[in-house]
Amino acid sequence: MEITDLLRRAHLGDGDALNSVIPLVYNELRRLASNYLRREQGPVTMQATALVHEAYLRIAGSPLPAYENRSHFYGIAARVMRQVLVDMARARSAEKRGPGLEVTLPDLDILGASTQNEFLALNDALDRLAALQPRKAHLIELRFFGGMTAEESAEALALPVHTVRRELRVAQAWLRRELAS
Amino acid sequence: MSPDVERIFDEVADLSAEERARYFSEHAVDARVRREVESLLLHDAGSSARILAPIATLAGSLGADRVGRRCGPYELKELIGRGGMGSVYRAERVDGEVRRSVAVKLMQGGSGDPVQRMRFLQERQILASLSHPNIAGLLDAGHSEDGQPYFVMELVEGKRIDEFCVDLPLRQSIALFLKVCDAVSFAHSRLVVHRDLKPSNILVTPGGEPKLLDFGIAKLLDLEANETMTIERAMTPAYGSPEQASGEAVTTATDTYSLGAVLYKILTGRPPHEEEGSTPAAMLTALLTKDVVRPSQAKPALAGDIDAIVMKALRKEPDKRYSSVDQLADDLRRYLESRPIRAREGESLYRIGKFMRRYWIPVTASLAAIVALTVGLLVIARERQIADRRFRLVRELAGNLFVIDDRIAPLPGSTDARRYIADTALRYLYNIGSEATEPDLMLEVADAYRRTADVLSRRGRPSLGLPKEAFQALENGDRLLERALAAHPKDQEILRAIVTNRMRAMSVLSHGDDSSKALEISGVLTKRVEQFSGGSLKIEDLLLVQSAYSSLGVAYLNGGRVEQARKYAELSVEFARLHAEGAKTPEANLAYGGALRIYGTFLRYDGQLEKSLEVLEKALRVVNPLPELRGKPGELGNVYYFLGIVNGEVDSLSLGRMEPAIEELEQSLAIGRRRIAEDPKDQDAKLDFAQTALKLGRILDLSDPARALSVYDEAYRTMSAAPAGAANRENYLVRLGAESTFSLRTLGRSLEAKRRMTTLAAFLPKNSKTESYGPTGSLESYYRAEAEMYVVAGDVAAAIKIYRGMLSAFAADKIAPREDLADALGLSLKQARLAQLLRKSGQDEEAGRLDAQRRELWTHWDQRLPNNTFVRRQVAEASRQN
Repeated sequence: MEITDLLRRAHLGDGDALNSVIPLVYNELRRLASNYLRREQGPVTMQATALVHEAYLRIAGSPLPAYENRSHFYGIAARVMRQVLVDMARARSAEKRGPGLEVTLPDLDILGASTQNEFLALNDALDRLAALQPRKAHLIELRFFGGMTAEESAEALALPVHTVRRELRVAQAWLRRELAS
Repeated sequence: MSPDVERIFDEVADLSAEERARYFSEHAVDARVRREVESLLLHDAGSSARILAPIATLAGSLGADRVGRRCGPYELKELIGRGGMGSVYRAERVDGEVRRSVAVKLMQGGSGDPVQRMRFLQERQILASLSHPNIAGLLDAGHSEDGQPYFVMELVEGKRIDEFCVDLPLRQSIALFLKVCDAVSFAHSRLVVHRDLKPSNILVTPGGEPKLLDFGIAKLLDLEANETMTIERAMTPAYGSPEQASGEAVTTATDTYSLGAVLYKILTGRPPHEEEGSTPAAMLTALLTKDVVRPSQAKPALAGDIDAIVMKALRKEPDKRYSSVDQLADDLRRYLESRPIRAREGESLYRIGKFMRRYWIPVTASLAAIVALTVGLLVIARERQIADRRFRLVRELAGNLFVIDDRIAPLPGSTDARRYIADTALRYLYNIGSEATEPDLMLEVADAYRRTADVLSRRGRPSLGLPKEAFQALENGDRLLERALAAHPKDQEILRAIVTNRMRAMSVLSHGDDSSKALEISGVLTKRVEQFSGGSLKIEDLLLVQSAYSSLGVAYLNGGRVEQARKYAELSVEFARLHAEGAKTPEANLAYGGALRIYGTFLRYDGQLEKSLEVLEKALRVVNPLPELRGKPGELGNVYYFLGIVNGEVDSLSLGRMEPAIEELEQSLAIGRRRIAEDPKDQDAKLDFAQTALKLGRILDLSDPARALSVYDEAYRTMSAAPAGAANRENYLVRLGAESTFSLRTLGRSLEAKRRMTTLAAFLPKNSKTESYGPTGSLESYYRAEAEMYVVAGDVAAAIKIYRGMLSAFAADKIAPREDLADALGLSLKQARLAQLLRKSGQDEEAGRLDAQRRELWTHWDQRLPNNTFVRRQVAEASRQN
């Protein structure tokens, strides 16, 4: 069966369709995630599969919001990935603080802590952007958490590609400025 | 980022510095906008890495794909499937010599609680013993390094049963399915319910053997669920049961339903409720309301017995299905052997109900028409013919309305419709009733009033929660009946209806706690039930008389008339015994056990502890040997509970025999644990469990505080898992938490005790008037724990202050220490402790006064209940402490 059809049926509550779609989507996303790595140069050591896998655990474990097509489905994946990372960063910084006063704290992992803080700062900035310009924040999410190209995002949101490009550019500038201040 | 800023940013972003400056001046850009655009441009040049790097680094630390990782001694080799709750991997054991392929199911979430982990492991042992050739064995279970629960199962390579059967002749498919039934039945006999049976969980090996997957996982997952995390239970709408859809009790009947659904799929090629393109909500509603299309409609060859068998397994009401999987299998074997099957007994009745279910909307509409028509007719004439017609109509109305109500009650948002039905019925009944003179018609109308009252308010059932209106309906019915009785004073039918009606009225009243009105009705009920039982009785009438006496007992006990209460409890036992002897069914014996148990508890309030114990032991002898039936575990748990507290409840009416008490309460606790595991939505089971834990904990605290603590904590977690707002949830949380601080302190963990008290303060009732300081109030436990904390800390004055407050609050409650033994004890215990503390701080005079009051109180009781073991002990204690 066509994957989009399975997605539609899964979305309509067909549990069997959902279960058969997940291994398919898994592979699809694996490909997507490695593209994501290829497109972004630099010293990135991310494990694409792990990210996607975590994201899909979340998707399958919670009711799927409405989506029209598979681009939209990836949009959801991006949102979920972001949530996974936020949870993780928060959990870790909570761990570092320790659950109670009587617990001896392990030495702070300086590098790890700074990554989490940087990530949380980015996440907060993205939240602020969403409050001002929700669509721009969404585009950033699709791009950086979902690994979607401008073309894919344009299709998902039914926007002209050049609008997507333009908005991504100004949104990135805005975010970088927020993070620098 | 205003639209201006954005537009100008777009225009100038790719220009050189000079071009930009020119643009700004030519377009007379506002200075503020210009500054904003320039500051954005300053950050335009950077690479995406600033944004990507933190995401990528964090994501990288998520760790590798699980393939290649280990769960205990198993290395995950490849992902072979994904379900709603987790992933399944092919894995290999890497620590042993034999490299054996297994399936590892890795679930999401998990609990960090060590106690829960231990129970998980214990339960795992039980499930591992579930060894059957058609069940894929659970080989192991545990938690991965990051705390996720995993299950190791036999790796089954095979085809889904529905696919396997596609090319199989009907008889062979059924023979294969019978093996599945046997496996499920085997698990049921080990108290394990599957809860998610579906074709993808039943694989057939190339050798033709079916293998059931995932047995026992539901049970283990329940142990995982705690207050911080709930594992959503996967329910596959196509094969799940109506009770799962509506969130009601899940029992072995649930598996029967799912088996029926699987059989349906095997036979017809599609699941019973396949709603192409519908939403999950619509599917669940269909599951609850829509009739399954008979298999023969898809395949005419299946008409007759197979139709009936499948449809009986797929009945919406769990108690209308086959009472066990064995019976389903038995009917299938009968079919294979061409013997008559059970499913077709009583078919015409079944068809009527089915019609009602399918056409409830047209039926409601035509009822409205009937109402209008009949009311009109009433005014016109009173000929016999019309009366007959009215009679027929009211009977139809009474029958149909409530069939409809039963159908729609479980649907979300049905309240308005139900209220409408009830109101229509009431208006109609009023008109008919006021004109009625024939006793048959009056009986019918009264019965319809009673059913309407059930819709308005009924304890333990879905109802509209309108006790006042329900009471009014019952009163209307009662007036009719009394009028009928006046004309036919010896009519057993009418008396039966009055007894039923008055019992319901009392039960509705006790909703609103109007005990004086209840006592008034008791008087009438007493008279009528005596008249009734003086007439000729059928076997089932004995049960009615028994419950009438039992309600009278409760009403008198609540009204503070212990003497009468005991008398009626005795009568209730007598009739229950007669009924059990006559009916000879397990249900009748269960009712007999229940009557004995209630009588036993009444005796306890009366101070007759040895006799109470005797009666409770008899109840145990009656209930214990009964086969598994609905209500048995709850009753057995009750009996053990009361045995335990009569033997050894601390600071209460008990014989002070701790050892048997511990044993009995542990039994009750174990039963409660099983009940909760079988149906996590059963709030009553949770309350019973918490109540037992409280009593057991206090006894254990004297000898084994560590065990006491674990009992309190287990119950605390159970109650926390109950939905916020569930009845008595906070009350139990406070009491369990407060009592546990005593054990914590004994174990030298005072700091934790202190911290717990702080947490508990949040659960204290906001309005202290709604809570008593008596033994069932949360304030009592909390303040006692707080006071004792001060005593340990050396602040006796603070403790004295708290006890004084408790004593005066308790006295301000409606207590009668000279009439009620429990009140006497509650008062005396507080006085005793306060006196001790006062002596510690040198206030001997006041302490002496309190002790004198206590001695006087117990001397009074000693005269009232001469030679009573319990009272003698209190007298001795009151004198000793002087």
